[in-house]
Amino acid sequence: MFSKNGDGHSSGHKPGLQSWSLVGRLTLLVTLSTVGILLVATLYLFTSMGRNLDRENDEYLANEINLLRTILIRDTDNSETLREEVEWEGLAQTHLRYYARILDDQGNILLETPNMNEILPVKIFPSPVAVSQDPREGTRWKNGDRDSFLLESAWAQDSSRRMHLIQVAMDINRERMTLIHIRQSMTAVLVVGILFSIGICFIITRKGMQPLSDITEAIQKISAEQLHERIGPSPWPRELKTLAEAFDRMLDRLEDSFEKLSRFSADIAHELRTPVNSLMGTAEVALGKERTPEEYRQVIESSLEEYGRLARMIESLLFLARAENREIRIEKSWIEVHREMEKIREFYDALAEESGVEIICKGEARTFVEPVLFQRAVSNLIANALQYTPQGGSITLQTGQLPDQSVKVVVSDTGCGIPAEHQSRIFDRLYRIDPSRSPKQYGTGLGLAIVISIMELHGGSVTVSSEAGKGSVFTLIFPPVS
Amino acid sequence: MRILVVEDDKRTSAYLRKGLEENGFIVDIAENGEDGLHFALTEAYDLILLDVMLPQKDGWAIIEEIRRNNNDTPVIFLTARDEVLDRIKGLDLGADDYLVKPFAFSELMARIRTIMRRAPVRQSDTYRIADLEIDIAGHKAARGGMPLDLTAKEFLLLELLARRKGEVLSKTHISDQVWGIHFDSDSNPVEVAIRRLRKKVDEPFGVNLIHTVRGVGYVLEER
Repeated sequence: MFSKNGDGHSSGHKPGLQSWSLVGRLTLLVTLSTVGILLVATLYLFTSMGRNLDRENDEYLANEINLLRTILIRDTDNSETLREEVEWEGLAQTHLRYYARILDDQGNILLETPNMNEILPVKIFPSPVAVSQDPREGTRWKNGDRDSFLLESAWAQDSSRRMHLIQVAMDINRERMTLIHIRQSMTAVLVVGILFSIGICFIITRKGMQPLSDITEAIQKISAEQLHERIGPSPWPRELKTLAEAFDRMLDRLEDSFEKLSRFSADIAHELRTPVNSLMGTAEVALGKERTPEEYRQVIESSLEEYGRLARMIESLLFLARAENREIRIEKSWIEVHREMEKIREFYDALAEESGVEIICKGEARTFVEPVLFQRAVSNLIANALQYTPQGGSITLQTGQLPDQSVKVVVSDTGCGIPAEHQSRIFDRLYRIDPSRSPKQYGTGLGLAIVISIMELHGGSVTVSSEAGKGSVFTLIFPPVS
Repeated sequence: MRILVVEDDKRTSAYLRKGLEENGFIVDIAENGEDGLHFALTEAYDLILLDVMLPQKDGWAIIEEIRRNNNDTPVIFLTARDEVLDRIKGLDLGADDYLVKPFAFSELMARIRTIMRRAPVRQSDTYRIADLEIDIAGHKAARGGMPLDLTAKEFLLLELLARRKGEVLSKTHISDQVWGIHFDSDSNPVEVAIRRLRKKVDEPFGVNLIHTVRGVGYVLEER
């Protein structure tokens, strides 16, 4: 239940579309658009079909009126043609029933289709159009609730200029029924189509989303214990490929840090175990039998030295941890780099002289740094260089302003150099090129890690280049003051 | 000289009592904040050593209360917390110094002495220890009448040891005072410098004046 925190249900407010499953979301959206398109299409088809039918009917009626008008004007006496047209035309049509009636200007019926008077009395017809006018669209009329008719009437003149009233009508029941029928089947098609599209869409999206479930499954397999697992290069779709690669790269980094961290913990334990063990042993042995005060003194003195080393190591570890969490606030000030270098050179001078190594300072620069940390970084590099530079060698401290106003401090030695395979790791905490070298002799093993931390705190960098047998060059870059 | 130690860790307070008493102080111990405050306000002390993390009432509260009572007994904080902000807070509240555990006892003694002699120290121009003579103004040193040939830094080192005669100086303190190196390095260089100074000051004359206190530091005295 708690693991579902992210799905929005537990957060109290109504789940929006965002919290739907992708399949649900896609199905809904695609279905909505399909329904929309189908609806618009069928509506359009339906209305245009109805309109076409209406127009055909109107045209038929208008043609009939024009025909009757023509017969009337040509030949009044030839009433046989007229009668035929009026009384029989309607019967001749099989699928639409047509009615016609001709009245004189007094309203007396001259001719009409048989039975017309019973179904369509004279007075239901719309007011007629003038002789000179073309017929309009027909008027609909419903006989109670049984049959529908389309009506039209028009004035006409015969050859002797007598006025006649033409009334025509057609039965449009069948068409109405056809339209209703079409509407029903279209609705059915629509409903079935929508249902189908929902189903198909659901299946398609589910299928399309399958790689997403696969990738989730692959990711779920990776736990802290199995950090070496990877999503892998299995043929993912293009969109997921980038994700998979980014995820794998992140895992690489994580695994690396994880490994470093656990190795570091193990190393710390080891580094602490050795001195604590020797302290315990020394004390135990000392107390094993009666000894002279001088012997006790020696035990205490050597212990004290060991304690001091432990205390310094704790301080260094704390410093690194804080620097990593950016908990160290540094207060920078301007320093003359060459003066500081000179100070440090003097500090190490006696020691260097004893081991037959010369320390040389070159260059001038000014930079804005935390002075104590600057000293610490440079000193650590010199202390490191002194360990690896044999008698007769030299260590050169060189500083200078770079064109972009950053300041570089280069510490180079003529020592044994760092084998290439170790170069990337010498800045790791407690990393030693030769693990057999006792830490007592060579500091805490944290010196270079501290250098990196200090440079990061300053937004600067440290790089190393080295050639076996020729020496190493450490370059510190302090960024320009912004 | 009376010192109040407010510290809840029994081992720590025990060794502080021992060390301070051997250095001639009278020591009272309070094991919790309430007692500490009570002692501080009712008795007269020359100095208070105050732990920060204490049961009942922490060090910050105690010093605030003490200062509110217009009591300006010097206070040194002893604490395992060394965030810069804590330091600043301690000093803001009116502490005179701030020492982070683990610290060297010699360092504590040095700080106590510094506070005790806040009154300007009489800087003498010449120091004399046994047959060693140091002329600060003339930048000269001689032993048994024989002038010593010292480098500038060696002279500074000897002067420091002479000025603090009988006091054990830690390597960190020495590198700070002589070379202006302000962080706690592994400090091999100091060892070498002392060794070289000895070669000139002690070796030719048979009687050693510069002594090593292993694991602590160096002291100049006639033994």
